[in-house]
Amino acid sequence: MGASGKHLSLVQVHYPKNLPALLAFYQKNPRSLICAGGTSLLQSPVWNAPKETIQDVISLSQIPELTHISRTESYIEVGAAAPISQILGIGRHVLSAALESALTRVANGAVRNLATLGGSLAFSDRWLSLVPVLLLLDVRLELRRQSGGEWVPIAKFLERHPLFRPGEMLTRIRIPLEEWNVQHFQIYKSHAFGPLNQLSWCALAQAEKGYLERFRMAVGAPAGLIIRNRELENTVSGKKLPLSLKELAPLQEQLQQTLENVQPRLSFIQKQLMTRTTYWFLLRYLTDLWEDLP
Amino acid sequence: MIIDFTLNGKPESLTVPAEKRLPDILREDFKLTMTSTGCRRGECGVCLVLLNGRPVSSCLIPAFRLRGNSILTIEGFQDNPEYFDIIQGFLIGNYEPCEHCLSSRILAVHALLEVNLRPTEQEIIENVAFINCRCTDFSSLCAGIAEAGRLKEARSHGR
Repeated sequence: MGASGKHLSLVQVHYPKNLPALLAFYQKNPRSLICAGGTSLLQSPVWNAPKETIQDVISLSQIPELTHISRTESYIEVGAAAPISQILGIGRHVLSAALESALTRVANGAVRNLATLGGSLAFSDRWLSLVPVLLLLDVRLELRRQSGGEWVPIAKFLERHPLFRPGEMLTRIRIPLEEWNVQHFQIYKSHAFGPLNQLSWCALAQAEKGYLERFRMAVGAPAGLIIRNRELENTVSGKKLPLSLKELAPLQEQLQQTLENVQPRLSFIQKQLMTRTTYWFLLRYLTDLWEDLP
Repeated sequence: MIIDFTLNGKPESLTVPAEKRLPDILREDFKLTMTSTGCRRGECGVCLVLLNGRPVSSCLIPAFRLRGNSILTIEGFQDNPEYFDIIQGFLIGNYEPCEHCLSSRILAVHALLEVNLRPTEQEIIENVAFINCRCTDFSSLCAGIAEAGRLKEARSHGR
């Protein structure tokens, strides 16, 4: 894009100094583009399309409230415009292992210094890497408008169409600090599968006194497809460990059923990746190998 | 729009289209040509510069994001003794990056050594080795960084 194109002068940038000023401007100009890190925006079709009218851009770079990270005993609260590298700086001993794993797999170090958690949530085509983990961690999102704000569970946010109401924006992300014995995140972004067959997979498990207290699993695919099957989770949860191979059979059936429900949107390769990874996880962590866990 | 920012330690004021990207600004407006351009999607890392001391893919930075920030390119880093620590470390470690990725590697190593003089292999993978260029042999890159860290440490202790 750079120096080319006659539409260059049609971009007008605004730099609100604080959150109230930002919300007031956005309320009046709800069609403005929001720029935090810029990594999602610069690759979005909206930004790259030829512009016929003046396009307002709001830069969040000078709003300290949006890059602030705080921590309590029960959660971490992250400003929506905090760079991913800043979140990773909280440290491995605090962040959930699955989230840390997912964050380190976002692009590369030079992009993570720009890219933000807010950007990963606000653009549904960016959900693949982080959203399955955030969903399983029961993250809550603060959505603000000039007239007020609300905390929304991420599961509800993902169901919204459109994601944001006019003048509304994502300002903070609250990540609960829960304990999970086993956390695994896997992303398949191989040239062997091609860009349309990418898949991310996440599971969390918590065992106590030889029983699997809680089990959660979610999958992400390109174009904003996120799959979580609570029936499957409930079937596994509460079982005595280790699971026997006999017990795994109905789980596989249930997984197949879930896949059938979303079949039109998942390719053969994605289904293979999903079933194989799930089976591998159950075998690796919840059957005979359970006692090997640290 | 008019953008005020700091480039290689000097305050600059530039009239530029808001969406012009940083590699183009460096080349066309400041004639700084040592920063390479690659994929222009932030994936390859060869256009790396330091934004407020942190390595970033310059192709993902539009002009309006520069306002109030500080950019360091390889041209601005060449007068720094740490530049020579890195170059010398690379030579001792038998690591010779190609012209395409040289400036990015040096700046990425500089940013890494600023926080850790003895980085682990994992830290090198995450902070330097991601720069996508076929010239790089990972073991000699690690050796070069280890030597650069030692030289920097020795110099900072006045030895």
